[in-house]
Amino acid sequence: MSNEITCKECGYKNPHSSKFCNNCGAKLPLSTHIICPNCATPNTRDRIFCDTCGTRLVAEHPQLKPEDPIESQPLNKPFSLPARRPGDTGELNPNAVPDWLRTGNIGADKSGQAEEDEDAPAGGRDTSDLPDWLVHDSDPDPIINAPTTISTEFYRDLLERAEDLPQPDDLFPDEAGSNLPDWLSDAADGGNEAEASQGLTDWLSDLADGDEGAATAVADDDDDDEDATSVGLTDWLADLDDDADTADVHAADNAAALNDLLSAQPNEEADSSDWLSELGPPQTDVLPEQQEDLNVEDLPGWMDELGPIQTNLLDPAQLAELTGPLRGTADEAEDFFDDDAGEDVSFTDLFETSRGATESLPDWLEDAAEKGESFLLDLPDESEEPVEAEEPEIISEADSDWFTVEEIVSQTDLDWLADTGNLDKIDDEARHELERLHETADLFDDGLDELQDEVLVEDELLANDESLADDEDDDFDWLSDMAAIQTGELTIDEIPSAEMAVPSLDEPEDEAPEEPEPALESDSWSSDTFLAETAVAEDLPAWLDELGENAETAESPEMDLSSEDLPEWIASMRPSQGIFGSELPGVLSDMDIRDTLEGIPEELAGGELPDWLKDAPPDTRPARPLVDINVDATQKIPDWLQPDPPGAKAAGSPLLPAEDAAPGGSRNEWRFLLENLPPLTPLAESLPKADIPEWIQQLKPPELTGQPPRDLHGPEETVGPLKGMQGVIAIEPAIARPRTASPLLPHVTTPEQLQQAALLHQIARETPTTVTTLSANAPYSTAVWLRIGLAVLLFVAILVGLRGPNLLATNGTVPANVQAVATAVSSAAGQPVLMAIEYTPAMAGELTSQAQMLLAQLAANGSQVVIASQYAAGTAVAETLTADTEAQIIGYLPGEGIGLRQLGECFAGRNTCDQLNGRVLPAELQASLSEIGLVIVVTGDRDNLVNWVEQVGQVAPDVPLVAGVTQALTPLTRSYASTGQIAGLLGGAPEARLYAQLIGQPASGLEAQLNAQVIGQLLAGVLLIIGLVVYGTTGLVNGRRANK
Amino acid sequence: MKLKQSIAIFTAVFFGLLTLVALLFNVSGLSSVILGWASFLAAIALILGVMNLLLVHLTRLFKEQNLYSGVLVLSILGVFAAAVLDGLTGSNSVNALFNWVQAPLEAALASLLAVFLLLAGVQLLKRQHTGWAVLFSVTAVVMLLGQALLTSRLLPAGLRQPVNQIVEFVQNVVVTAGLRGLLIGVALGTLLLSLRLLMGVERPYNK
Repeated sequence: MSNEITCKECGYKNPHSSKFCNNCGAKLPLSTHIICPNCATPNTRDRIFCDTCGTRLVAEHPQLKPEDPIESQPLNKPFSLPARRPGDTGELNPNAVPDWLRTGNIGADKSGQAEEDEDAPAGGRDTSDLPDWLVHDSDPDPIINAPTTISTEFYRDLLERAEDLPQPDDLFPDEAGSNLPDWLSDAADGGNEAEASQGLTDWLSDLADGDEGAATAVADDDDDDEDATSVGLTDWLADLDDDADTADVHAADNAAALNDLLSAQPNEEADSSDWLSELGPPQTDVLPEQQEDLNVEDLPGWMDELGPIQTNLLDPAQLAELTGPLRGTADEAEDFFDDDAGEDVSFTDLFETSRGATESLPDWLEDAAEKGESFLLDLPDESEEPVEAEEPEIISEADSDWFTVEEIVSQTDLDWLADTGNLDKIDDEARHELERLHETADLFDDGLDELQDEVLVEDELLANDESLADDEDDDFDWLSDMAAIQTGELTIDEIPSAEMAVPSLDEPEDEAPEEPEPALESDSWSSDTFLAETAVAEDLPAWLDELGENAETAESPEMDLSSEDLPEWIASMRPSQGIFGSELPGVLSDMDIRDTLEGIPEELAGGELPDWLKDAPPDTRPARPLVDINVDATQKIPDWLQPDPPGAKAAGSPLLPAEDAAPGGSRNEWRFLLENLPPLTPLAESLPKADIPEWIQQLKPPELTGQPPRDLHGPEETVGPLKGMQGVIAIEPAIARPRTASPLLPHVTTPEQLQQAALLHQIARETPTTVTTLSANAPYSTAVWLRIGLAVLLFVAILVGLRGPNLLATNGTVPANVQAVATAVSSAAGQPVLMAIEYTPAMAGELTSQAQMLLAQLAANGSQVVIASQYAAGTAVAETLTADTEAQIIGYLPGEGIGLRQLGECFAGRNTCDQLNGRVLPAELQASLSEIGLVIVVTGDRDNLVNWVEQVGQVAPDVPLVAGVTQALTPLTRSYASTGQIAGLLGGAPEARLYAQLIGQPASGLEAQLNAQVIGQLLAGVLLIIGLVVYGTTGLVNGRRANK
Repeated sequence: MKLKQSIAIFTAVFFGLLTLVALLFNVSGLSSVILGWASFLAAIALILGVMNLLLVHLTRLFKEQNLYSGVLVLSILGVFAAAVLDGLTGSNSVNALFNWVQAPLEAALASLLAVFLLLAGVQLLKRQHTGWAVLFSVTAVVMLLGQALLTSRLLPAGLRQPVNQIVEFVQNVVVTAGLRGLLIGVALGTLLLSLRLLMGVERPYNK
């Protein structure tokens, strides 16, 4: 939309806010909308302050009061119809609109409310009507605060506050491995290991510590442990018991949807991380995907460093308790208490510092130490391919630090491990082995990007239910099954390890998923299966395998993993009631989940942990005990773990309900979890519904609420076109401000306009006159016969005059001018005479007779005749007249008066006249011109006569000039003759006849011509008289008739 | 004002003043030179005019098939050819064409003039019922009849003298007075026109 103002005068487009046209200076119409109250400058609507004086144009606190809108508005105001949202047909109730929303002035409303409600907090706003999700935990103010003043500052502050919130870019920084969610990436960050571990939800931590959780589950027999189980779980997990009935209905749907979701993920690396991040905690908790061909080095770094993460929870005292036996035999005990001990001390370091403690290790550990690198191949389900197992370097690289540490931690954190004293038997070879494993663990950090490819493989493996079912027997997650073993529910069989071939680590990684395994049942997959299917599980060191075999020789083969037996610091690591039903006291039990969240990075806390999770109170409801049993794995479990505590057997698995505890093992666990998943509902529905404040509920249209339309309330309009209507929303003050229109310019009527108006008025008042069309035939016919008649009469008169009787009078008196001609010609006898033939053949009938008489007289006098003419045709006429005489012809004389003047200068020797008008004159002619004694001009044209008389007569006054002219030019010539400028004059045929009689020349032809002329003149005179009489009479008669 | 017009005005004014000075101070040579230039330019202009006239009518002849243009073109080419032949053979064909073509035509046109004047005089009162028309008609009748009667024998001897006096009075007094007034007016007009030409106000050459 253009803000240009078009000038009405010249059409020039001026920029907005222009007062005068930039082209013609005309005053422009006021196209602005806000008049400054201070300087009356019109401002555009988009301005808040006046462009001239800076006065604020829009009031910060509108003075308009909703309860009295009429009084505050000017009488002459614009109006607006009640507004409503598109589609809403309900009646608007202005009273239902909150005051602060209606007026935009929260401060005023709040102040008013403060007077009414003294209980309201002075500093903050009343958030009782807002839902919890709109109110921050630590801030009593609502997250979405109603503005005190709707101004620019308000929006600026709002934007600043928005910048403080975690941004999407913060949650997904552009780093290596950024395709992974931050909660995964941060977990891999070694610098924030402790924070990352705390930031992880319990379910995730438990996945990583599955073995440990399983171990603790062995000792969990009581139902009281169920309370702590839900500490780290979300509500939906905690509500599994309550929703068991409905969850069964949706279990199949959830499993199918999960398969679809996983199978629908594209194979691109970039997308794999997205779907992982999009899954979120409620969905990813079911996805510790199976990966059969996953190598240990492919595991992400965050999994690799879960070991140190766990150690971060240890305080120095706890470490001292754990490493007490080791410390005593350590050679370099001081390194054990370095500054980083409490922050990032891994058990790898622990073993390094407890090198001397290996002497107390049992024999089987010592044996394992002696085997060195190959002992990892001696897992309970070791591969049948001894060739690959005999490659210790590869295996050592494939091993991971965290895994090794985890396995060790799962045992070293037990008192029995410390009590065995066999730790002293761990020799340096074992230590080096661990060091190398620790070094290779760093390689896993670099494999974060490769994890995405492996996740795709996991998707395929997850869908392969059948193979998973077949591999159930291979599940050797003996640590997680310890609980079942102890309870006696688990029977140990031989593990058919034929299919658990260790994949060659030399093989390319991308060759593994080329042949997908048969489809697995999605509900039979578990974390144990995941570990069992991985090469990591297959590559468990032999000393661990032998650990089970030598368990019988252990000092505490029937170790009770109750809280009394475990070190206190280890017990504190677990939830108070155990994650999986453990009764062990732990740090999590005493830890408020919100306190835990405070320690995590800001991005992680704000981004990954939704508010509903933060707000989730510790669920004290008893958790359904889970059963994580792998019957087959018990065959490889050391004997000292197999004795079933009576209590454990009676209590069954703490993870699965008793009725669901079946030999299915981990498959049952995941089946249980999937069956108890909440209904897969859209994300919007799965989110907890917010409590809508009452004042917002009141804004809901009646059609949606089902309530009858409200009656219109509000003040009634008393003025304007909306008079009598209720519920009219007040007009924006800026709009309601009347526009100050400039006074109209007085209309000025110009005289031209007045004249035009008078003419138009006169034309309008005149009666229409009929246009008289003249007949073209009548005058033409009359004229034709009249013309023909007159022409015929004239022609007859000429014929009669030429051939008829001679009517001329005889013996007429010769005038003096005629006698002067004869005298002048006689005087110039013997001298050259210049005769100018200044007429055309049209005048030849009247003048040729004169010229012939004069030429004859000159010839008789012996005068040399020089012929000249200012007419081209006159030269021809002259040549015709002088054909019989010897005359000198000058020819055409250009230049009119100047040319004649120059010719006149040749007379009397004033000029040599060798050249005349650009022509070289012959010498004879020059001599004749210098001796000219008379100039005779025969002409019928006035101008020629004037030029000769006035130009030649002026320069050659001594040369006489005689004129023979027509009868019509005679009066003009007489004037020159009377003044003496002309020596003689022959006026027309009558005087020529007299001149001929005077000089005694015959003039028969001239008399016949004159006779015809006389008859014609008589006829013309008669006709003129007739015409005068006829037309005069007719005209008089018609005039009288017209007057009458 | 364009440069072309300025040059023309400057040239006219300059040579006008130069000619005036030559006439006032009787410098005949200067005026002769200027008149020679003027004649030369007039001859060139005449040639250019004839050629332009020929081209225009040739165009009208072949594009518009105008017969009158064809006659004109033939007349120009015929006279030009006759002049060339006269120069080559020494004949007088140009004078023959003049005497047999141009002279009768001009005489016929002049005769028609008498007819038209008579017709106009006869119908004068038909067109205009004014006193001036009556005066013009009466004067014309008196002059025609007076000249004719005085020259002829039709006028009685007793009336000849008064009629002669009337005619003489009209010609010597009325007509001469009128012609003198006309000549004075022409002289004043010529003077004023000359001043306008010298001042560059009147520019007939730009038309």
